[in-house]
Amino acid sequence: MTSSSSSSNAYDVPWVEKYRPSKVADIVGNEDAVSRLQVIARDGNMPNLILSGPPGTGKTTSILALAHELLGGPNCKEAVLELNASDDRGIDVVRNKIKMFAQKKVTLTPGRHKIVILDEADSMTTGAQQALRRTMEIYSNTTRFALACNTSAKIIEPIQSRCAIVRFSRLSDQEILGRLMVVVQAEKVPYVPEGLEAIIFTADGDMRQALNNLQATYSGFQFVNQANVFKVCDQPHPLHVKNMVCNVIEGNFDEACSGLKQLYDLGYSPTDIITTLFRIIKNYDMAEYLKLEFMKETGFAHMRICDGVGSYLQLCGLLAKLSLVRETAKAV
Amino acid sequence: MKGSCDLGTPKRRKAEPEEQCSPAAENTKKRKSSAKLTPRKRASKNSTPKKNSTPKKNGSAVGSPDSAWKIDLRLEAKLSAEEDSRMFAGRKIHPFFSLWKVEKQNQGQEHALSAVKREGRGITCGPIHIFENVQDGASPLDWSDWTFLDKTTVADFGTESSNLFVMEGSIESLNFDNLPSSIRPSSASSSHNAMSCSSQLSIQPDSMLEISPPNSAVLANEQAIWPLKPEDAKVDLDLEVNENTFSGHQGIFRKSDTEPLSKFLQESMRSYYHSCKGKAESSLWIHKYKPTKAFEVCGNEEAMNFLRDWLHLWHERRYPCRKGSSNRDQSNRQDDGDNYICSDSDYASEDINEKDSLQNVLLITGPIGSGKSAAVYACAHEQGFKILEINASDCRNGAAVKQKFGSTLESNHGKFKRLLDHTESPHKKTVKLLPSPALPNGIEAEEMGDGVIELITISDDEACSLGGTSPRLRGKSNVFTCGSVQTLILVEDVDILFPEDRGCIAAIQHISETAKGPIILTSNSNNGGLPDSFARLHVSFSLPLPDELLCHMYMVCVTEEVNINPLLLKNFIQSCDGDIRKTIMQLQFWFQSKKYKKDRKVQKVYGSLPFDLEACHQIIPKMLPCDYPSELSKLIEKEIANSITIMEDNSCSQGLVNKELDINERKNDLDVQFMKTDYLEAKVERIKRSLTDCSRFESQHSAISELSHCSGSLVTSSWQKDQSKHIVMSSDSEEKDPNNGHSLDVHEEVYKRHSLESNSEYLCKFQTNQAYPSTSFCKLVCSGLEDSEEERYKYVETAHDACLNETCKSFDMSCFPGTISIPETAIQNGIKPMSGPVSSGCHADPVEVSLNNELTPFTFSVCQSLDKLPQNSDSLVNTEIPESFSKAAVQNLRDGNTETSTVCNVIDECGHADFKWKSKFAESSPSMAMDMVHLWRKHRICQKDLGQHDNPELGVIQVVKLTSGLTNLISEADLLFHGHQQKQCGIMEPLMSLSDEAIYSWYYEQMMMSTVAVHGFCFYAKRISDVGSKFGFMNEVDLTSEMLACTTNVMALGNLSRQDQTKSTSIHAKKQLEVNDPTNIMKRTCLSNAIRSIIPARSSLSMKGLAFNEYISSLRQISFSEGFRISHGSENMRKRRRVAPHYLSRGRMALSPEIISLVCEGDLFRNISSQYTANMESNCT
Repeated sequence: MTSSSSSSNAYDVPWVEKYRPSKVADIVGNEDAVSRLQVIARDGNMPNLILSGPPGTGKTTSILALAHELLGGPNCKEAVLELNASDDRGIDVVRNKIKMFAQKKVTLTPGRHKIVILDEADSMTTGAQQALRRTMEIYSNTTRFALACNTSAKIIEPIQSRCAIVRFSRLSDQEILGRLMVVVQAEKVPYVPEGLEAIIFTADGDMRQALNNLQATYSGFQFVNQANVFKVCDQPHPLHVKNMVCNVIEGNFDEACSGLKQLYDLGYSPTDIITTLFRIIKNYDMAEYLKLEFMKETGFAHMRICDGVGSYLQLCGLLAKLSLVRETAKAV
Repeated sequence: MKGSCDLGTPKRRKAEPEEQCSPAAENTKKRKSSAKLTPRKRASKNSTPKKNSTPKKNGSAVGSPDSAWKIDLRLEAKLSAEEDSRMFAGRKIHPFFSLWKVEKQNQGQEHALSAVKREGRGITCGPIHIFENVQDGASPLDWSDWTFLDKTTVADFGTESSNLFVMEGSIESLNFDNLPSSIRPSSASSSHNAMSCSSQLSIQPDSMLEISPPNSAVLANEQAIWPLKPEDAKVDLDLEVNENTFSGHQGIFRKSDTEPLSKFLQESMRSYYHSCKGKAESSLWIHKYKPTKAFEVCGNEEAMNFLRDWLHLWHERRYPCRKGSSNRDQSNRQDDGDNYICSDSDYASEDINEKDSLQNVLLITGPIGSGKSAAVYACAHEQGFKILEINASDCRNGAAVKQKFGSTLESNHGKFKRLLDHTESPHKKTVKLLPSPALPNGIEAEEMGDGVIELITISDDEACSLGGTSPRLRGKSNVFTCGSVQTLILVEDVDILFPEDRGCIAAIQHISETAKGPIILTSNSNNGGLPDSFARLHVSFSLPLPDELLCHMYMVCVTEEVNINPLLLKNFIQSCDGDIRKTIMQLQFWFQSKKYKKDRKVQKVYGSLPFDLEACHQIIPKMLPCDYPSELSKLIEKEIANSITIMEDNSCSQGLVNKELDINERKNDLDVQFMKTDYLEAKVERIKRSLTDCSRFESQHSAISELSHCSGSLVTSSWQKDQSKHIVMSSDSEEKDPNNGHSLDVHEEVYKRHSLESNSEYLCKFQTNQAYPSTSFCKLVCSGLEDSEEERYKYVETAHDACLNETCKSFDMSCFPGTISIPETAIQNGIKPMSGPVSSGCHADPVEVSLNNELTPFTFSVCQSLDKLPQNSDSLVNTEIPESFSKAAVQNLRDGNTETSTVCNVIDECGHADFKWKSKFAESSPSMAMDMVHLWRKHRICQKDLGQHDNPELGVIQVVKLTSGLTNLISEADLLFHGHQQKQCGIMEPLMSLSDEAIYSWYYEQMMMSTVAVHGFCFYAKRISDVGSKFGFMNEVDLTSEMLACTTNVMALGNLSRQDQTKSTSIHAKKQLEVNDPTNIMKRTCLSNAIRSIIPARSSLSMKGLAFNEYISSLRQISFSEGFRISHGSENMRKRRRVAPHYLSRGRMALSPEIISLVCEGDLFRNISSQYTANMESNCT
């Protein structure tokens, strides 16, 4: 789709960056961690941090907002060193660049320290992480480190031992909706409630994806409704998957398989199909016991797909197992 | 042209709803105002007028697409009209009008909902239709797209409303008392969130209130959290009660922690912590509480002593040489100094030996965070060494290492060395300077004085370096003029070397051979990657004990004025795996600046945290209502009492025995009962001498067998039966007469009886010859377990068949080994027994004795049926009816039909009573016809009593099934997580960086698994609470607080720390008391005793069905697992919890004599329960 920006926008800036909060208090979700970051932003003396969590939950935003509040002002550029995935982060960078930054003297107010931000820290090499472990301790009086990563297991254990690990979890639908409404009002986007609901469904706890989908839908169609959202997001259509589940529950196994065939022929990957199927099952109105068994079988199928067994045969096998579960539930 | 048409059409659609919006807005405003005023209960009534108004809108809604379609056709004809309408529509896009659109669309939803209800099948056709639209992009399909939109809206709205209904149902099923209090705060919180999100516009909250509830219904986590919220109200009540307990508990904790410390260490540690306050506020707690002396290090005392002594030896090695050369110092020395010099001159030869033998390389190994580097710095600081450190962040090439440490080899050129030190390590200067402010003022002043003195002879730079030294180094200021301060070379992380650092080990090895100072290497792995030829000493560090670390952390918290519960602190230490540095870092993040914390009520929400299986294992025992009273055991006691009262009529001398039996029953204590039985045996012997009546002996035999049956211990029962048979067999002549009489009637039955009697005679002869101790008899029972298991396995097979004829056949097969023993007994009748055959026979006979005990009732019943033909038909009918109904009962139980299952249980009990009646009838002689009539009548009375107590059994069975489902769910969730962790390990090994998609799918899989686990857990928790509430046992466990308390996740601990101090403290205090409470343990033992008493009575019911067997085995396993959990709960490590047993499939039994007796009977249930579990697993798959 060719995206044409609205004439009312003077800038062509992505909304993800345009509406990124610059204060810790404005961050959406994860209230336990954000409230502690607010205290640190007010009083200073920030410990070394590892912010861990799935994408789109506010890790980078929290670090940048915290650095902005602690060191906002003329010294901001000199006192903050930010390295992200696009930078070279081998062992030489740690031995030379980071160490030189730590040794540099910057005049700061009491309680404030220089900050080294390592975004996407799990993509650092193991050697670089090993070289970093002693530097964090030696220069702890003048420099503090903030690491952001998706999986804390990719950070070596000596680094984890020198930091406080803060885990970010996925945002709830209410939190995403609240933020979307703010952006919708600011950008004067015409919408219907089910359109926003569709965006929240496709984002599934990812704030960045929600904002990008909102902007893409508005740029492409100038109106946010359900049909337009699903055209932009290119995911298996939830109604189609829901129809499959309905056929399984009603005993129409052949129709369910034909529906699955259609999805597979459209080119969706098994991971996309299984993910959407799980979401539909999670929200479907069926007996509690039946829903539990369906989710269980879907989880096992997802595990097999991640192991590399993701053929059409496996997906049909999943539908067959769901049918067996349904037969068992009826017998009981 | 097409673009302009597409742009124009939606604007036209927008324009028309605006015209119709004004009357609809007024109606919606009125409804909103009415909805706000009325309470929530009336909201259901308000929904009905909305339905009434829908037909009006139905007409208008139907007309609007048609009119829009017509206008589109006209617009295509006129281009100029489009331009005008476009300009008009653009201006009207105003936030005020957009709100009206929202309101209109909400009304449209309601209208569409009613429309779809009339046409139910429309939904199924919709998606297929849409699918075709996606493929084709033609313009005529726009109309069908519009139709799809309406149906899509309808479908989603339907699911939302149904979800709301489900939520309401789930709320009602939980505690009814808390509903009004729980619903209002939750709605208030949601409205508050809506208000906070849309504070900019005043009108916005109204629409938000309507939008947010449907979205919340979609959440799976909300469904999981919702049943837990009503229980929050109870927490406040419980916490207030436990506040007093908390205060006492805290006092006890402080006293217990401080007492073990000696006075000296206590005072020094207090000064240490107090001095740390003086440090800068902006430093990390890790640096603030870094140890500066050896005794300040937490844990690892042996390693610390070794390190300190080693450095002290190195310190003394150079010190006397320097002292000997100078003369000015002697005038300052005291008497001790003089002695030191004398000793030095006397033992000069020994010094030479020490120099040669002292090793200069020390390797320190240990896990991460155990304090290796801190220990080195503390000891070096204490002994006055200066540290030259090289670590992984330095370039550690062989040439660079030599170049860096080359200066240390030139010990004579002091000035040159000092200049190099300043340039090479400017950062260490700041580290050295920091400890000086921490010193007391007096010592600090002295240092200043010394510094001033030194200014006379030394330059300014050197004076600054002197300022950083500790007071213990004052004496060395003169030595410093001679030209050298002792240096310590510290090489950090020698096990981590990169290809760029080639040659580092060789360089260090070369330096160690030529250097005259100590060298310390640290690493995480044991060997450190060093070659074997590298001569070195080795010291290993380990993580400190949890108690030591807890004491240390508590002192840190007290110094920082953090008021934390010790139990919560213990959880922090546990979640950080005993890592000192990590624990302090976590504490700083969550607790620093505690003074300025605002008073908020933090909502206890567990849904945002990932699901923790370990916490789930801990909570299961609390969810189950395990205190069901075992009323059946009371009924059994009543039956025995009734049978004993009948025996009182026979003779006065038996009255004494009956009274003793009553006493035994009332106490129901195994130990006392055993002593009573010994006394009873003595009485029996006395009665034997006085009485010679055969029938009385048999009556005593039956009474004693019932008593042992009730007690449930196999050893005691078999012992007593042997004794009684010994008494019976002493009068052989009298018993042979009735045998001869019976031989005329049934030849086969006489043959079987003869074989049984011959076996018992053989055992009696063995007993008369030797008096064996009870322990040897227990060993015999143990050795015979395998044989008995095989026989019981056959017995189980017969139980499954449940056919009378096959039962007889199996009896014949089981009696077959008995016939083999006949020739042996015949041979030995006239010959003295030999040791060999006696020992082999000794092993075989107890097994058959136990078999005889099991099989005797059935054999007698068959004989009795054959003897009395007129009663035979009645007894067969009675036996057949319960068997057929037992299957029906199982099916009805599964369906959950209460009334039918109650009736079936009554019939089962009738069959059981008949069965007992038969056995007793067979054992007694025919002359006791009058007594039989009394027994029969009283058993009828028992039947009525049994009928009244059916309900608890039914509840127990349901709870057992739910527990089985819950534990199976946990096992499968653990399997899913295990697969996930295994994949995670696999990813780390090749060190490949995954793409974003792989990471995303990996995390999404984890999300899916936790959703399955959370959903299932809440599902079963709700069911169990329902069953408990039906049968009068209210489950008062607050799941949310329990999950937070049991979880070792750091975020959960942070959540707990933010709550009120008293609340979190009381939760942990309650948990602590529950483990230590002795009365709780007493309850468990009573429960296990009660269950043990039920098992023998129920063994005869194994033919009735699987439900009873599952019930008995599960109750036994639950009591054992709970007892085990209570006794070992406080000592469990984190890793052991992951090996937590499946509560139903695997039972962990501690071996004791009492339980060994249960194993003989328990094997039967184990097989059946395992089969039952297998059936459930097959059903799940």
